[in-house]
Amino acid sequence: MGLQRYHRGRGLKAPTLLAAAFLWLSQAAAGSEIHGRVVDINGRPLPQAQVLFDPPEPAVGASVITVFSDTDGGFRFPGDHDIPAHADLPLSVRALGFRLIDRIDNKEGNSLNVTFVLTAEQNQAAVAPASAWLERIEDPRVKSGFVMDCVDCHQVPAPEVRDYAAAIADLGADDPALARAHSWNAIVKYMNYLSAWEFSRGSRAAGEKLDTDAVYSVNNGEQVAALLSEVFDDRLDSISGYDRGAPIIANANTVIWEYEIPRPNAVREALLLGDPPRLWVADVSTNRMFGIDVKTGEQVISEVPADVPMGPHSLHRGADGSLWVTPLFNGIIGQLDVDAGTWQTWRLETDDGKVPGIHDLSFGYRHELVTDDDGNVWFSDIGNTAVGYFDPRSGKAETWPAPPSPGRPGFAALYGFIVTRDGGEAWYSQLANGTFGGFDIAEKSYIGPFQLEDPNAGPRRITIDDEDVMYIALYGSGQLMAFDTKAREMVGIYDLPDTGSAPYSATWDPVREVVWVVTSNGDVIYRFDPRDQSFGVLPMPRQQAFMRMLDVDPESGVLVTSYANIVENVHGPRMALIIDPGDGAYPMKFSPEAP
Amino acid sequence: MNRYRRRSPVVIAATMFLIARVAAADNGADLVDQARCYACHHMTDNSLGPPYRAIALRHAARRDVMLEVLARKIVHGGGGNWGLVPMVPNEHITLEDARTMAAWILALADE
Repeated sequence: MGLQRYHRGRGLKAPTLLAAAFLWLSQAAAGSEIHGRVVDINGRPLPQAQVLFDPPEPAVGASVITVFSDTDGGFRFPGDHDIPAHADLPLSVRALGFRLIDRIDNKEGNSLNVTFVLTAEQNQAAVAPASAWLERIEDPRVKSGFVMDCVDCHQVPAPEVRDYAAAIADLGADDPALARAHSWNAIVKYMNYLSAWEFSRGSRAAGEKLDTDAVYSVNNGEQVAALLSEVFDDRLDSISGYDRGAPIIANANTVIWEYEIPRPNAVREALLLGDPPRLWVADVSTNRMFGIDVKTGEQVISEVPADVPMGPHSLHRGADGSLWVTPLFNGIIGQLDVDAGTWQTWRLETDDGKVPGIHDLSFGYRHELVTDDDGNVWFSDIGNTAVGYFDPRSGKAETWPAPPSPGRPGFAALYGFIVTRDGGEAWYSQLANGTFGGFDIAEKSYIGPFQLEDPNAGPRRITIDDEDVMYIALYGSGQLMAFDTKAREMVGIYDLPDTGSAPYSATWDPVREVVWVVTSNGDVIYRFDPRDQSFGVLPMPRQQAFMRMLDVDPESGVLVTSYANIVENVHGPRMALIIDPGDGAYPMKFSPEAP
Repeated sequence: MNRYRRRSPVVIAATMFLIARVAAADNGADLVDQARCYACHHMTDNSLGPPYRAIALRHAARRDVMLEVLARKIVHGGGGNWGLVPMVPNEHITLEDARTMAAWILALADE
């Protein structure tokens, strides 16, 4: 395979870029520090505000770096940065319930000291997450159903959804309720069409049209449209009183490095692997993986060798540091040697002719790929509602259909997947019917199934700790579930601080001994401490942080995740990101800044 | 009598215009398909939005002006012309592509 190299760009025209770069470099003083304070209108410090630095092109390293203010309001960006002599550095600040009213720059030699002055603002619409608006839905069962129906591919209400609510209001219709009913009904049909288009991409012939009548009418569209009309009955431009619901865990040492992925793309998951360390990012709209050097920002594209669409989707860290990729289409699994740049691929088909729809491979408690005693890789098969394995030496694959969930017919979406510490059992979740269960690998027999009370609980990605307690993110109900796989009993089901946040995945952190819970609709990562069942909140630096899987780098303990906005008409960020929680829990310090 | 006639610049320009229009039409049809416009618009039947042919016929008399208006409507969305449902914006589509798509729609009035 060949690696295609280019430098990142963010849509600026080349001459503009070059001119800006020349101006910037000619005026910059190298080796300079950026620090400062965040205060309120009375000069009182504002702790835990986010300060964002968006280095102009061409910059090295991350697209945007974010730090948090300390208890005295102070902040400091890691490393040295070029500071222009005659231009404002592109810094911004955000804090829920506040807005910027003044900024005071003081040059101190080569360094820059910036004071941000904020004032309280009742309208939180510029900072609050999409989930804040879902507090309008009081019935938890209605809310979980709505999240499962609408938040699968993008946030609701994303800014574009809010803009559409305003567009309906702007119609000035004689009967606003009728206009809302018609318009939200059309949007639901439209989204059903986009979804059908996307998920038939791997098998649809060129130029083949979808049957609109068929795709418009899937599921409970009219019910969803009725709820949208009822709940989103205004311009959706003002919200107040939203609370994160748990303490913010960020401190003065917390850093978030965000790396923008060149568009067009449909970013899914990201992992940090290799030497030099690169963020490997899946683009499910193609067969591509992006590899971003975290120090230089240089990007490579590595194509999964396949002559059909495969759509890299879920990523897994191999025990040898390789990258394992599962597909959206056509049963193709890829393994990339990230240093050599070479792929090995398998196109799976069972002896009885089934093509597995592989979602996850077998994660162990270190959140890396584990094999069974025979060297087989196990997987969840969302396409056939099954559990199976393949032998990487022969490519042989075998699957076992999962037992039905009593009283819950229809598509199950067998989704997340982990293996117990001794490798004896695999456990899976079923997203679409609120069910989970286990599989005895030696006996080839199922354990369970176990049902959650709410069929729309939405059990998604799974993790397991080193004592075989399994944690599942419950997307629909906004909860975290803990289940003891040895005792076969529920430890607890915990409401997240925001139950509209749509938790996509849970990842056990073996050093911190906590569970990281990544949300798709809440712009936050939660930290769950099983010792006291408490939650902490780590807010992301932007709205539409539609996150998916999270990996904890085993050496430095940084968190690696991505913003995976996959719907073109929802223009959220498409980034991979690295987060140092700033707790010093791991002996090795991660630092992508130039020495 | 000299049967040979030099092709006039006007004829050449008209031919090139026609070729360009046909190319734009083909490309416009592809762009409309790729942009998933069929989610809401059909050729002659009502769907979530008005049919392409109806749009073309309504604006046939003011085609020059409407090309730009329609292109911007494709990008920015909005409502009020055809009923109670605002069109979604498509800001990921460039204005240049939107013009090609609008040209293809407006040319349907000739068919």
